[in-house]
Amino acid sequence: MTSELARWLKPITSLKLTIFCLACAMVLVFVGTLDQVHIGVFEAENRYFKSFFLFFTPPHTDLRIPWFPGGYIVGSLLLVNLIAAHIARFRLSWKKAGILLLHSGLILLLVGQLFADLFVDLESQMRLDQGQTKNYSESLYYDELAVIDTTDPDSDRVISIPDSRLHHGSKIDLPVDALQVVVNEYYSNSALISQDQLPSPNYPHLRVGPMAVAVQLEKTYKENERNLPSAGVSIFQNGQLIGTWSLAAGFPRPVSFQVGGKGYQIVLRPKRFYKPFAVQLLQFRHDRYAGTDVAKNFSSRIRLLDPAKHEDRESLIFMNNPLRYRGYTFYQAGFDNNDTTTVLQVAQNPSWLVPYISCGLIVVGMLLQFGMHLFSFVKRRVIA
Amino acid sequence: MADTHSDTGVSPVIVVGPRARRPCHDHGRDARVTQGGMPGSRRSRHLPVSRILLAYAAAFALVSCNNDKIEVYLIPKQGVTVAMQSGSAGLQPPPPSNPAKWVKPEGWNEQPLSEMRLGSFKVDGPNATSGDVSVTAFPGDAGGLAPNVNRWRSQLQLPALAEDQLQQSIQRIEVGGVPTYLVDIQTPENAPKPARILGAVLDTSDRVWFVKMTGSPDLIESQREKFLDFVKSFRFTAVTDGQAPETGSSNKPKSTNDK
Amino acid sequence: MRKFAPWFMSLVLLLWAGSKMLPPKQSPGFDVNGFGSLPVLVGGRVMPMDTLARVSLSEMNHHGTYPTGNGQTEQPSRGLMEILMMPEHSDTAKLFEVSNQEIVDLFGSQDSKGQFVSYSFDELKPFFGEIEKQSASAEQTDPEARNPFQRGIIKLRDSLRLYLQVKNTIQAEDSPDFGKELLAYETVIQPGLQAVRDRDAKKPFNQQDLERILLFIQRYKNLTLAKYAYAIPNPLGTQENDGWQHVSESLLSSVSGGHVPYAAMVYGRLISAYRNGDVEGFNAVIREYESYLSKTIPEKLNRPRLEFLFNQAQPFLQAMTLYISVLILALFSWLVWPKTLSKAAIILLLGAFLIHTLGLITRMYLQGRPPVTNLYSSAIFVGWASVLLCIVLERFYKNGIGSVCGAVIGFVTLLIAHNLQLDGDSLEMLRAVLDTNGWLATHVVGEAMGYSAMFLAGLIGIIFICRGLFTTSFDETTSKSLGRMMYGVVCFATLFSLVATILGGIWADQSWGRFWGWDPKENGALLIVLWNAITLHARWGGYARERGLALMAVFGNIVTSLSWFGVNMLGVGLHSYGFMDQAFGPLVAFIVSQLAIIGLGLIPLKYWRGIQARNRQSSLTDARPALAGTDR
Repeated sequence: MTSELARWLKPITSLKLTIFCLACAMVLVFVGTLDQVHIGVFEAENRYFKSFFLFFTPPHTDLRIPWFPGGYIVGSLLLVNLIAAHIARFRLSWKKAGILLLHSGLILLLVGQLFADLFVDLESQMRLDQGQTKNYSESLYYDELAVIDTTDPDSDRVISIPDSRLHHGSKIDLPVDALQVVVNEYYSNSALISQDQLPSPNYPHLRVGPMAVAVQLEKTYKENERNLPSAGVSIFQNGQLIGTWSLAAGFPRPVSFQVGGKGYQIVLRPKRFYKPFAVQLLQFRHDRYAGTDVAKNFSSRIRLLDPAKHEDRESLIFMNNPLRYRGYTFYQAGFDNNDTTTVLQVAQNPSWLVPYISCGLIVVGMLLQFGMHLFSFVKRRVIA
Repeated sequence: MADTHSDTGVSPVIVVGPRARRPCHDHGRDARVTQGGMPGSRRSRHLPVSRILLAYAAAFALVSCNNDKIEVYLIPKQGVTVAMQSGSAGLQPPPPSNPAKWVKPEGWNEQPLSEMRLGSFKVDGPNATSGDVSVTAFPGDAGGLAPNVNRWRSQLQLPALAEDQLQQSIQRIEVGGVPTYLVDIQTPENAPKPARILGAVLDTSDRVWFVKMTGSPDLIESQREKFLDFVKSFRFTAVTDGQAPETGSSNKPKSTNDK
Repeated sequence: MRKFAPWFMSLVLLLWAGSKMLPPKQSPGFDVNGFGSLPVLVGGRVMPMDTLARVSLSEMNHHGTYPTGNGQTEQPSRGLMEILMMPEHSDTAKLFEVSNQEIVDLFGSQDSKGQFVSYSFDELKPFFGEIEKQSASAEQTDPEARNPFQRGIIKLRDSLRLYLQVKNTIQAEDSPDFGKELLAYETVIQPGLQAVRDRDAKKPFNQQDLERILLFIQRYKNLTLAKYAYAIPNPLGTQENDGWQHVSESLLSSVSGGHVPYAAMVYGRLISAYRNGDVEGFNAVIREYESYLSKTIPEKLNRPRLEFLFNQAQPFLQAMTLYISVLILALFSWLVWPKTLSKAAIILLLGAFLIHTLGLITRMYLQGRPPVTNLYSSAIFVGWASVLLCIVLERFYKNGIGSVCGAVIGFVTLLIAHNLQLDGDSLEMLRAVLDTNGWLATHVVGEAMGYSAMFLAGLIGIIFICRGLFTTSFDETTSKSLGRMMYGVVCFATLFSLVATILGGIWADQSWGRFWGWDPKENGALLIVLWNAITLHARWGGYARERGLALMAVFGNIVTSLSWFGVNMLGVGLHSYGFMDQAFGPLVAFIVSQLAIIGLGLIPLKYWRGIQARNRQSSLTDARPALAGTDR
């Protein structure tokens, strides 16, 4: 190793840096946990742990001033520090085996989690009424404005615009058919009420149904509540106005229109993730302890339909027993409608084995390290 | 004898003597000293830092790219297979959210529907009173006729009746081949707010439909014929898929982790 | 003789504790013990009547007692007998407690002793409408946002409802003599059935018979609304949920059978005997029922019997007293008769630990689960594991530190547990996501052992600081061994907390689809792991030596208590299993106390009495400065 490289690496290998990073991590975790009470688990996760910095916005401004490193910086600094320290002091010996294993397990864990965060699908849910079949799951937090080309009798082409692109006044050019979506109005959270419940006729609202209007609400961060946006959009083709509609994610009815000989639909709904297979709910069971309402077990008997792989089989999903299929994992997460509807959590994580492997390494490493200590300690005491 | 040196792995027995063992990192400091106290080493901390920052910027760009894209993809119509028993979830025009048709009587005003109400009407009556008509449906047997009628009874502060007593007050007819039970309940004599409920329970093969009209006794009396006509106009489309109406994904479902 | 003194002292105390655990002698009169052991299904599990008594009474007042007036209280089972069989008496007992002044104002104050005002059911009857109304509006607010009045009024309404349900467990409360009523019912069934059949077949039927049976059926149908505890065993029931019936269901189902089920009749006869003061008759029926149960469902009889004895024995209460005695003995052993008293302390500690263990094992057997299933059992287990660690420490170091620590932690954790017990059935059934013995035995137990070790390390740190600052017995050997003890225990804590946290992640992956979700409880566990990592790395880097280690260990107490209790109070996330706002005050007080100790520990070493004494000592013998090894 050249002395130049060694000079570079020296500060990064410092134990002080390790302790500093660990302390920063503790601050992040502590403050982030307290803030969860106000902004909910998901939002706190995004702000504190899946971010580069914590930002502070002075009142009456729109500035975002970073004042503390976020999870990504702390995590990657720790990673770099750990790897550099081992490179700088690379010494393969039995005495160090425990520490090496332990640290490599940690490295693997951090890298795996980072990979999962950056590149992998978000969590979604599949809600099935009894007997219902679906080949898609829906996001809990994100919505989409879907413009669907229904012309082809065999398939639909879905153009999904994420809700992050929808703001008052946005103009979105679609990559096909020279269509343009203009968002005239956008409520990031809304409630549906009947027209005569409006405080005054001029109160800002969107007419989303014959008698139903949507009014704007504050975004909610409560755990069991979901933000339901509404939007007023206009579709243009080649500059010509095709139509203007009001859409509500809380009442997602696709609106059909024709233009240029093609049929389309437009709908505002929770973001969908389509799968190449379908799941049907045969039966949901909510077993209770005798004479109480306390749940003993929840289970969903489902049917897995995958014509491409010639699969048509039943499976039972219950607590602590998910279904793993084609890279997706289905968990029993919730239920509704008097125990006739099941809610399955869907996760897609190709690196799901990584935590198991790294945990194995960490455990073995720790046992080795502390085991050696204990052994020598006891030996000494016995001699003394 | 005590260990006098180890860097990260340390035995529990501590040093002997006043000079504590030097952690290995001190070698760095020693190295600086022996190399003539090169000042560059203090500043060397900055060099790698800027490179690290560059790496972050790249990663940052990568991350922010992901979530803002417009995605275009194809999905097959009819869901995945046609061999499936139930209707698909593919993007056909949405399945009718209630496989029943009816004829709305004159003078009944349509109200916004909701996940609960498949049909909802307001009827204006004399003296600025109004009546409310709701059409709901539940899969299976929805708990049975008696509990549901008793539920309506309790809404009017009437005591619940036993099965056999109820039978005497229920009128049974047929609507489009579907067995239908009619009830007519009124608040007791001395009730402060008199109210009356006309109810119809239609028992189709896969679910039970409840048509309920609530209002003041006079209003109900005046609308009785229309209500009956409305109920008799119900026709059920052939439902082979056994699907309950699409209820949307934003109810407050219960979590399996709740107490 | 000197050799036997420690054994003598400890054995006396142990025997005294043991005697308190023996089942209570059968006093002449009603066989309360026998009744207390009878099985009943509540909350999904079969428990003895005694537990039903204790749990329901603790919902109504914070002592969990049945007051008989003039300051006396009844044995819980006896109190339950009053409620079940002589409701007109129990209606006048001051069972219900209110602590919020605004609620008291609703009723007009009665006799107020301290901050709790007690009311009887009869006294509160005129206010039921008001209580219901206030509770209904209080329920509109989210549980986390409710003020003390709202919480209190809802709790009062719930206790009143519970009381009503309990009253109707084995009879209809308004029956003047339920035994006689059942006999009358039995004579009515057959003719009534006949009348129904005749009427359905359109034949002439006996109107009177029909009306009689309909009357009974209506009565028992109304009774089903009060279902809570299921006392009638159903030996024919094959499913788990069929094995027990509420008395109303049992009576209704008897219509088709033609006669009243045996067990229902038994309870009817018990009620009659009790109300007529027929002690002999009552006790005879109890014995007869016991022999019936042991023949038909013996397996459902053993656990409740054991649980009854367990309730009476109160092993954790005895262990608590013993731990205090150990503390006194150990502390005194530092001042006088060191060998004798410290030996007595360790023997007594072992004895207390044995009782603690017996209690723990009995709980595991009764529940059929690994030791930690809820907050209460976590406190019991954390104490147990700490005491075990302390016994090991004492075995190696033999300097009394282990005894003192074991006594303190044992006592404090059992005290915490005692306060948590007042929150319902501590042997309660587990909700669905926890229904997995494998993870309970590994992740949860491991996490609890991590807590034990953290608190132990923190306590040793406190001893280090206190001995160093305030006493002169702080020679180098002592401080070094304290340092070593802390280091060893912190290593132990790191191992367990890291492994348990990782196992928790794997469990979460199986259950909820993700390894780590930044849920408050997960974050709490992570904080412990991070703090341990900082402590160990600081020590290895030489930034923290003995005093630094002590300070960090005491801070570890704060991190652990926040992780164990604090996260439950946030009311957020998947782990909000225990909602305890009453514990907030004590938690804050604890944290402040630990911060104060850390503050004390930061006082420069030269002001420490122990160091000064050491300096004086060494300046007499040697010129070497004695600050070595304790610096930083």
